[in-house]
Amino acid sequence: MEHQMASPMQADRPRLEKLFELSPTASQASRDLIRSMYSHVAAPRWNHTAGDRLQPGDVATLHRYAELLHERRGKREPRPSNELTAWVEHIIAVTPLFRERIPKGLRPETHWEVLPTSSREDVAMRAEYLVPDDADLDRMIVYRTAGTTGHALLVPHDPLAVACYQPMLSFALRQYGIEPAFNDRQVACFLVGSQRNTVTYPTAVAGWNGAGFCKLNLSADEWPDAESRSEYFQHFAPMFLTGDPLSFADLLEQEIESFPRAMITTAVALSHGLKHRLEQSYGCPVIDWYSLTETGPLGYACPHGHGYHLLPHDVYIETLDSNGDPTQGIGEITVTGGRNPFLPLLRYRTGDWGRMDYAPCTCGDPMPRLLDLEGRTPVRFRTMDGDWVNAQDVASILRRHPLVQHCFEQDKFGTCRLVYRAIGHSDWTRDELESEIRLLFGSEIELLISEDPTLGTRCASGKVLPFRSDWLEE
Amino acid sequence: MNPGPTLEQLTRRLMDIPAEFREPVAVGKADGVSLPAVVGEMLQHLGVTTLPVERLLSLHVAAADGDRLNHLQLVLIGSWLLTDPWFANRPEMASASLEWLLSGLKPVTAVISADRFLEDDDRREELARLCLNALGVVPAGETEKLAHDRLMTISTIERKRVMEASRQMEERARKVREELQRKAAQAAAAKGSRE
Repeated sequence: MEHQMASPMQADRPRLEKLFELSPTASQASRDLIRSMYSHVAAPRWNHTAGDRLQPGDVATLHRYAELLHERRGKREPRPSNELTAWVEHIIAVTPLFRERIPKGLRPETHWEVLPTSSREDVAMRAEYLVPDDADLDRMIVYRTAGTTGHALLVPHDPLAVACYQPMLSFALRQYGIEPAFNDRQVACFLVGSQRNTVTYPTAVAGWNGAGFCKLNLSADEWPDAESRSEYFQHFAPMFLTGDPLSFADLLEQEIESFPRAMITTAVALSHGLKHRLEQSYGCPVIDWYSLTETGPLGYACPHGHGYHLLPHDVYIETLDSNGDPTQGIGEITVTGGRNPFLPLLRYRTGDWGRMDYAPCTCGDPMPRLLDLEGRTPVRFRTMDGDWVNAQDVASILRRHPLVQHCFEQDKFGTCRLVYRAIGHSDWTRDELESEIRLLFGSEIELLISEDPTLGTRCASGKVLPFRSDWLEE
Repeated sequence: MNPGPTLEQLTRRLMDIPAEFREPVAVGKADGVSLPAVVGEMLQHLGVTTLPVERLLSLHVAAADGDRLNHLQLVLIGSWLLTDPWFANRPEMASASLEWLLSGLKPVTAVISADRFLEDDDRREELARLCLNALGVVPAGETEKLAHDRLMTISTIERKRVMEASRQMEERARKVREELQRKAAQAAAAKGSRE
């Protein structure tokens, strides 16, 4: 691929070097690709640096994980395997929170259903006790997220566990007949956002054989001019796009030309109408994807439309009713296992609801399916001038303050109400929070902020709708 | 495990310890109670006919202070306990008894004074339970599990271990907390999709 280069003034050498540094296993071709994505005349004003941070030893493990995703697929039973219960026994022994919470003598293989569950509240309030004793903190990275229950979370993670997203995305593409044969001279994926503020960077990732990857924001003021976005998309021709329904809707609205072979949409529920429009406009499948920061990817939409197939082979999903008992019907999606050495999941209640189906599926994937998944409704707000504000922008402000949980609503007259539960011992004032929200929505906005120390504690699941808007969309 | 004497029998014996078993043990050329003699008598009480003289003589040390001296004083108290009538003519327990006195008691003597095993109800119970546990019997009327649980509850060493484990856990949690905050401000890793 021939890449158009920018003037030397545009290239920010230190930041480019940092991008290389964060991709330690990148080949020379990958580095050239990063440089060209970074420096292209139509490139956005990058505001961040990131890479896969994989060490040479990690790459072989990552490729082995990709093989296991295929090899370990098979029919599952609605109960934990012996392998899983042995892992849980070990995790209880080395994880402070579980060691303290789970009475000695309670054996995972015989007492599974009475093993205490864990939740977002644990991650929000005591993440430090969820990190196992033997986890190497030098490798730890951290993501901030608000999540579906409105909890502000600092999620400890590991570069290798994060890189496993790549083979899982590849797996989903294959299920839709797309063979992801990537190399280090092409761009694999653009992760598309549509927010006032979000991090953006170009990189190349080992999980896709060093192919390029960009995290982008469609927000117009991040690009050199009105035509830049289409030019950039066309020039680098990403094989597929990831994003959420709001950003893909924006892609349509902005009439950005792109020819992806698939669009993978995450984070919030995708309406049938938008899915159809995207498929028509971009001529490719739109694949719904179920993933949480704490768990990683869990499911991809069945190509035959039969719910979401369990994607990773190394997690066990059960559904629990409101009393915390396993149910065959709709219940809270609860996850055990995973591959994050800094956050072992033991009956982790996600706050999302659905039911498991173990019956064979016509698509041929033998893994069980999540049905009736109560996806998260896409939410956006409006300023008094009528401009859209993505809930993610509000979330990124809230994340900067010591809140455990929040509920942000806008009524049909435009009034915004924020109810929050703060971390008990933190010393802060909410004036700064209020002024940041006013800056986002404009000073004319009617904004009511109140504290509720019991937010999220009045129901068993702790579920609080983090964002809600009564604005009528035209 | 087979049943041993009742716990009350042993704790009562510790309460009734004669004054000479509380006197200083002989160390070097100083006057004091001769430990080789006392322990030898204890072994004979258990029915041992050929005494392990070399091991017994090792109990008369040229010099001792601190933990070492405390250990020797507790060997004296332990010998009194083992001359309880229940242990009479049980030579099969002799080896474990000697091992308990010479090695098994060392950890507790590093954290608690020998006198306290006589003055405090809980410590008397602890010493009696440690003795029976070392000899592979349970207090009469208790199951093995109950005996183990009660020993863990009352054990000074266990309490110290728990406190140390708790201290280490809090130290680790503090370090993790700091790293979480520090790394939250740094670049994470590129993630292929949104959540």
